[in-house]
Amino acid sequence: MYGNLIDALPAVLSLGNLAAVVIGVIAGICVGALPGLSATMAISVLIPFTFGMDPLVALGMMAGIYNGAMYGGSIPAVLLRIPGTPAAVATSFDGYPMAQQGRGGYALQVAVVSSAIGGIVSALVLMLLAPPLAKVTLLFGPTEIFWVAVFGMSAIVFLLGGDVLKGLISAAFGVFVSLVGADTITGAERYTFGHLELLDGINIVVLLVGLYALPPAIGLLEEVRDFDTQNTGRLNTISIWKAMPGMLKYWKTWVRSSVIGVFVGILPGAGGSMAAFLSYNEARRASKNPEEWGKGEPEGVAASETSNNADTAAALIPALTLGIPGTAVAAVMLGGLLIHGLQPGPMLFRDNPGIVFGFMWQFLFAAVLLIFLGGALATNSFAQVLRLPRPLLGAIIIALVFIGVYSINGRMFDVYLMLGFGLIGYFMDKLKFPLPPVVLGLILGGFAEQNLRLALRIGGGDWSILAASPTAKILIAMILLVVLAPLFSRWLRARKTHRANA
Amino acid sequence: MNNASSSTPLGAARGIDPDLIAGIIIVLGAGALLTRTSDMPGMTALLPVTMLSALIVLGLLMIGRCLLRRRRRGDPEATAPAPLKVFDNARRFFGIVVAIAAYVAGVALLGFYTTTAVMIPVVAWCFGYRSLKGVLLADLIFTGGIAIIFVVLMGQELPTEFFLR
Repeated sequence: MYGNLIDALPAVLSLGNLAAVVIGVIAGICVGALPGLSATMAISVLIPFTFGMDPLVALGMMAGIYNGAMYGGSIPAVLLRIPGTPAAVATSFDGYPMAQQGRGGYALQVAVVSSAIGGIVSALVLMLLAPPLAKVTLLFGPTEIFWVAVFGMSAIVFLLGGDVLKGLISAAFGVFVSLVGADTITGAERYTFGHLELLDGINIVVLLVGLYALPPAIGLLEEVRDFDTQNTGRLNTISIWKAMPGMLKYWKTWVRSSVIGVFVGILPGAGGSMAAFLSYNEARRASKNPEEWGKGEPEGVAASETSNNADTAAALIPALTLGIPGTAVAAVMLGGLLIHGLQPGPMLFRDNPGIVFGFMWQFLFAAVLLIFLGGALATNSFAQVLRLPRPLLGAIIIALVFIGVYSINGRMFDVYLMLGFGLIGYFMDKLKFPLPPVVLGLILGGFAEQNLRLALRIGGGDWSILAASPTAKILIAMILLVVLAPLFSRWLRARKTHRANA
Repeated sequence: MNNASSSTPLGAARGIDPDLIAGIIIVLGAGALLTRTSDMPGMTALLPVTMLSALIVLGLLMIGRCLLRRRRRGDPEATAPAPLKVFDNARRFFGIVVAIAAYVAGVALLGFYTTTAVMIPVVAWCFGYRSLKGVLLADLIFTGGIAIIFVVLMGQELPTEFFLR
């Protein structure tokens, strides 16, 4: 098996294949940086053009686009608080405050290095552990996936912010929004108010753009300021190679987030957003100064970006080995393999080892190239947006926001919905309701419900099925630990203070 | 648009805590949505009922907290946090809302590129960036760039221009 991996290398190192990866990474960064254009869409557009290409060239471009887009999403998330991709939402929590403090360049450098590390780990895992890791997914039925989602939601405890009451309201609102649409099991409509557009639920990008992108645009236009474009937009960066040694202190976050990203990537249906949130939460929990998170902590950017890139190649493990696409991008990539006559599944490794292992190498090269191409592109080109006068930037963001939302389904209804969420987001921001719990509730609420219902259906309505398997029991124990440990430590601290005062 | 005199906290002048208004809206909104769950099958309604009930309880707690805070403010001995300020500048905020609504309506009626080409300079000018050259150059680069990326490279359709329909 690993002999095939080495045999595949010479073909990948040919000029045409390397050029395909380079073009893919650059295109991916540009696509990811433009709100509304996703890796899925870019790869979908690319597939028809690859008919006449060599399969490895086509797959190299896809690998490059996927890796590039996952990092590219962090550029507007850091500079404008517009997540270019849903997976970049957690990046904006600390990246945007850093940009506001004049450390946007460093935030982008941390993002690009972390993305590359996550991508490299993910590609190595895909190369070395694809067949054995694919077996892990067989242990996860709806019950276990439900508990994984609940585990993710327990992260809300750490995202509540200073005001627990408002944090819980935000989380409940997020879960409620995830319920809009037709019930996937009974087909009954929930809060569609007769609108066919709502039958499929509310697209996460509509909510994200409304909550995260519109309020800052309003804020830019609302402030009365002198427009000193010479100094306000400076990124204050040093060369990425000089900055990298200073980032080595994030090694624990890189390791932890890579593991989370790979694990979530293997799970079907979970995706980069969930990986980024879980990883952000775990890194914050492990931090010595959790109160600084959300105010411009570079480690938050590192956690989110490592994880959402560690998810990329790992998401292809079930896709390549079992033919089960866990994410939309993986599904599109499977389509790309199929049009080149490659049937995903265990036989792919036996019949076309040169291509499948070559594809894995291309993922690794794409991740490494991120540091070279992403660093220069991010800091020298895209970051110039910060130099624009604020009213002009506000107007441009409004147009970008429109494009981002309209291009999801090509309909104005989503734009109206986004404007509604934008107003809600504006008032939530002003009244200090934390926004991250809304997003977490939306991502995981529907996911948890769907798997709970499936599990109950399999168990004939018997709720005890939820704790029947050993994997489920381990997950329940982990959830209890995560929720109760901070409460217990808080109680211990309070008791200690009380005793000291007495 | 540069009138800073209108920058008063929402309701603060009349002594209404914005949190109290938010709490009332949450309770009323969640209550109204809860009545719709009666038509849903049992399992379909399970999570909506749970979440909306939670929102009502949390909204009531927020209202209670505001009332308590108000009482404490009346007590000169006690210290209570001041109500949050909602608008930096209410006039500008409503101006922005009108501009966004006009832009969205314009896109639906006139098409994306026409409306965007008009909106960017007008909004930037009205909200304080008064460089004609800068505004027009930015407009040309942005709208032209978007057209190249979305029409030429990606083939992505945006609302059609009125003169092309």
